[in-house]
Amino acid sequence: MENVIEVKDLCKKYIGFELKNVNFNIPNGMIVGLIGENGAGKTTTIKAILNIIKKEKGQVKIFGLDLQKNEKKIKQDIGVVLNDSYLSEYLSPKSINKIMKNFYPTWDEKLYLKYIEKFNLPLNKISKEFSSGMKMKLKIATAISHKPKLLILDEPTSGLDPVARNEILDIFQEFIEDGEHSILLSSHITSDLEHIADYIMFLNNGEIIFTKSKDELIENFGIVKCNENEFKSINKGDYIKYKKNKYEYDILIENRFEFKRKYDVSIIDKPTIEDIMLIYIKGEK
Amino acid sequence: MNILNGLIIKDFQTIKSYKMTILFMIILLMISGFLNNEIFTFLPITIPLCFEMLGISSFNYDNLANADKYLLTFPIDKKDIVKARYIYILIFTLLGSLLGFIFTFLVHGINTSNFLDKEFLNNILAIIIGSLISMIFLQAFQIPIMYKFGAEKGRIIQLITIVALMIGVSLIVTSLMNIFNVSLDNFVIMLKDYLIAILGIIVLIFYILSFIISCKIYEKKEI
Repeated sequence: MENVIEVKDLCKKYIGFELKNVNFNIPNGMIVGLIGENGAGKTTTIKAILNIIKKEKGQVKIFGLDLQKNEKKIKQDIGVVLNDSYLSEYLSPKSINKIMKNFYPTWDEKLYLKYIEKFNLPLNKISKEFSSGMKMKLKIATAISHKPKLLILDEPTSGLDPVARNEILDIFQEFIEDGEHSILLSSHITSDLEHIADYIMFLNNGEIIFTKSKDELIENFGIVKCNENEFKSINKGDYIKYKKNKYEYDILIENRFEFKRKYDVSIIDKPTIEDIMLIYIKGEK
Repeated sequence: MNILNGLIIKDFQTIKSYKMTILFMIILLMISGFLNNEIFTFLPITIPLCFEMLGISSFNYDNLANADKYLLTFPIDKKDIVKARYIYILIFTLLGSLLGFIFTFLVHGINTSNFLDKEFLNNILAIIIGSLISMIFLQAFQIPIMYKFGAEKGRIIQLITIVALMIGVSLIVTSLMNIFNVSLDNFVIMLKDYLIAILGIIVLIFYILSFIISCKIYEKKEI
């Protein structure tokens, strides 16, 4: 499977934060969810991939091309939604169309207007008067109307109500349908990624902890719930991390079927991505 | 070229939402022009100045939306963003000067019922060109400051710079007058035929240098 994004040894230093040797690949035709708590480095990673910030070290290849040497060519085929940045709120969807068609030769005015209509966005109203959900839909319509091969989205669902979030996730599913398009999206709302992501990439303190298929995480990983005596009988190498609660221990394990064969514990829950993330961040080894 | 168009259209479309405010401002200035006896120093300076400020305010709109970061996700160079900003501000400044000339001409013509006062036209033209050159000279400092310090901090530093420039320019002119041992009137008369050309060339040099500096600042800036 061809990779749409290849990141090697990506490093970026800020005062009090560091992105440390980030390595990952994003396969073509997939939705990859980048998770991590606030300040984990998700936005920094995205900005570095897009060359918005200068990296100290590392190489980024997109569509098999070196980003540094082919930036303009690559960016023709990328659609981006940033959580904290867009065009002025004093612009209407109609004005945005007039602007955007100058930047992308592939800008499809009809497609853009179709999305504006589909999302029930008033064409002539300035976006300052839109709700958060409407603003996000406008950002998405703008990002996909030049028919990019890759969408990079930073927190596209944060601050939205469940209905708006679902509508937006549907748009992403539609975008990916033909297998020719890929999405990298960051989110701390892990339930959204459970719906749509094929792969989950977990970032913590500027480091990639793992990149795994979502199915593998949900189907194989487990959370053992046990008391102190049971916990003491478990070999340290057989679990990833544990979290001590008031009355019991939550132990994160990589393969619950193997674990069950080895240990006689009564409760092994199927975890959510949020459970995995929480124990990784808050747990101990 | 499309990229530059896109960036300039972006700024014009943004300011478009203020069209009623701008229209109101022009009407108010026109009324003040009719009521003001000092029409020479009022309309031909205030209208271009207001438009120059509107041009510079494009930094604020982009700052509010954090737009620079988003623009850098497009297939464009950082240099294009800076170039488009210079062109946009220059267009606004020229437009302000043109409107300043037209409105002063109209107000004076209506007030005196004489639209063909040649001396008046020459004087107005001289004031408009003078204020245009001064504003472009000022912008050559304002724009790099906005890039270096951002729209918020930049505003205060701009004020300090304007004061420093006024003191600096007057010191230079005074020194030159002392060197050549002439008064200001004589100094202007001495340079009369070449004054606009000399100032134009000086301002052009400053403007080109300003553009190069802004490009370097923006290139290095962590957005």
